[in-house]
Amino acid sequence: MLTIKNLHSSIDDKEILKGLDLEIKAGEVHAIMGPNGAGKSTLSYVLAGREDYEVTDGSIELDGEDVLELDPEERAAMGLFLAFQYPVEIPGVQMTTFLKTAVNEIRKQKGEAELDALGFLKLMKQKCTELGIDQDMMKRPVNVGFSGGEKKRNEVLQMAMLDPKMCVLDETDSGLDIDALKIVADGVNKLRSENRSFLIITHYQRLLDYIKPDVVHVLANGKIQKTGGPELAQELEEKGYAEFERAA
Amino acid sequence: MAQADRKDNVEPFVFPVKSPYKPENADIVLNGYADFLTQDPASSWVETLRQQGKARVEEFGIPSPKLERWKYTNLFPIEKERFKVQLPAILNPSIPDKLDGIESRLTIVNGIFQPQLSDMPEGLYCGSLKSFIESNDDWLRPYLESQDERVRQFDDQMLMDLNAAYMSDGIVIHVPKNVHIENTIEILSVLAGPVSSHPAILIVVEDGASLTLCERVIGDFGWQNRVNRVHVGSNARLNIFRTQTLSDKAYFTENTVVVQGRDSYLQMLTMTTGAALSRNQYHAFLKGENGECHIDGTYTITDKQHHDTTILIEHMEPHCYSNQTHKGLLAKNARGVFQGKIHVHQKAQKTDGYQLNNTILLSDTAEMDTKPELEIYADDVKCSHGATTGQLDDGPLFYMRSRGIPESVARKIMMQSFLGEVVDKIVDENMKSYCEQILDTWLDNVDKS
Ligand SMILES: Nc1ncnc2c1ncn2[C@@H]1O[C@H](COP(=O)(O)OP(=O)(O)O)[C@@H](O)[C@H]1O
Ligand SMILES: [Mg+2]
Repeated sequence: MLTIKNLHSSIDDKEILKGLDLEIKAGEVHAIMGPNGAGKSTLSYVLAGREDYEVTDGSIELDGEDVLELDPEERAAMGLFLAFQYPVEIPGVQMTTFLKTAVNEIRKQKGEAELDALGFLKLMKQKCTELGIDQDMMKRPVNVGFSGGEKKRNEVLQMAMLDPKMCVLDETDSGLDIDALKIVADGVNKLRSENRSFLIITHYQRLLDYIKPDVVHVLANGKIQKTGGPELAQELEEKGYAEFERAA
Repeated sequence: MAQADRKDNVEPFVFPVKSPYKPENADIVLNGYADFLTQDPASSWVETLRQQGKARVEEFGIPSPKLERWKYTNLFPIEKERFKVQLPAILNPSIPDKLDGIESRLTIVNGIFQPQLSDMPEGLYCGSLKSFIESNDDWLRPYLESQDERVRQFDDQMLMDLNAAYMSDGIVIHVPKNVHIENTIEILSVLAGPVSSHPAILIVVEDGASLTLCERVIGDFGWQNRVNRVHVGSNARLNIFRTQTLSDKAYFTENTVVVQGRDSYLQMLTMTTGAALSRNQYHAFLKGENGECHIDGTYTITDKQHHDTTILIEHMEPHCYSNQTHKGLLAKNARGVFQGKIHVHQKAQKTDGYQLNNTILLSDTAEMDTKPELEIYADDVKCSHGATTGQLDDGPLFYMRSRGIPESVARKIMMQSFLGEVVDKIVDENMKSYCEQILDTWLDNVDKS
């Protein structure tokens, strides 16, 4: 599904990713854990195509297609989705308008028929119910005045609506209490399928109690330092990241 | 002792002050004035107003950027065109259909009322200024004669003087006491041909009456320099929604003088996409307690267009509320100016004044000058003002794109939502959708080329 080779990326001429390799197969759930400042969000932004992150070397392929050539919207239409660590507020743009535009623009790019108002509302209602999201939230401007938990649930809602094949979740667990965490994890688990892969970025092992990963990586100093099974997460929880930060 | 030594007969040297006025420019705008007078003689009191206006134009010329309130707007492009007033207007321009839902429309072409292009509304007095002057002297005269004292205090009112010099026609709308006009009335103002016009629009909503007006200013060429006089009586209510979509070869300057009574409500919202150069100047007097005044606008301009909004709101009595919300998008080499001032007189306690000017520059070469001002002489007031000029925010743009929304669509959504704060204030649904349509077209074209 996703193949990253020797990825180097910098911002403001400061190199953050220094040769990162990652291979995620269809249906797999991978977790990336790492200390603050390791470059986790940088990786997620580079994947989504944020322009201020310069890729100086390496490649990213999604199902064999060169992702780095594509605009963010084209990546989204291919089925790449990033749940932001810090979801962005868009004053004056209603959630419903935003979501409907997104759903239909992706359908257009894929050559599918657009959803009409009724079809869209039905889909939205269903997904909101599944994620325990109050419909009233959809009348508010995107992320404006949302609580931390609402913002994160909103990211998962968007993910469910857009039906991507490669989902990247950047610290979707941070700032959530245990109930909200369960709802979010539950939403993600429902989306798990053999055609859909996940990259779950987190600082803490906690989320991985609810979303069981197949593979766990440690990212520090811009590189994958270690790869293992779910037990690696437990190990990190106990020992911390000191060993890896020293290693680099 | 030292003082005694001073030579009193030597005058201290004073640098010569360069006059900010350009009387030499009077000739340009008064070119053909004698012909105008012969073609369009007026009754004695109108004649007096004309002569007073003309005299002041001859003394001061037309405003130059050396005047404080004209620092950012240079009328030279208009001077260069050497426009003349042309009477009578033998013109039959093609005009658009009435706006949806509108039954009555008053049409002026080059400032001259066109009965054959108008559908007169009922329940109020209205029609051409000229016919009112001819038949209705006594009622009308004070409104046109009284240059409000404080308007006069400004030494840069030459465009108003010029308008008076050419006083001839325009529109009068007079809603009698306690009359509520349910149906929105449209004013259509057409500029046709490379000439100048100086209409006066007089709107009087008497005590307890109400009215909603929509106006469109359209046309390809020429210069309109108009004066709007707006009187809103006690407990009266007036909404005016306007669009100015002139071609970029036309010019538009106007002075609006607003007088509001006790418990009155006025909203005047203007959407500007047109004209090579435009200046909308407002001077509002809140003369009764508890009056409410909204003067709002959007300006979306491109290429070499120039737009200026200059506002002075005077709170003269306690408990009044005023709101100025002005938002604009400037593309290419467009230039915007906003000068908004709230003046709170000593007596006007509990004033609530609000002023906001936000501009988004869509290119590196667009330019905005914004000057919000407060002048407060009362001690118990709530006034706020804010001005920002910036670019479209990258964060939301990227967020939308990451959700599959193409850049051009995302930009349009952001620009629409930016202007939405003003557009949403249009309570007339038909006019609102007309305005949205105009903005939609503008936004679709601005990102191209
Ligand atoms: N916009 C930016 N400008 C400059 N430095 C940045 C910017 N964003 C992130 N960084 C730096 O890049 C490094 C990695 O950041 P980030 O990818 O956010 O780490 P993580 O998500 O793992 O905590 C940090 O040292 C951070 O200070
Ligand atoms: Mg991060």
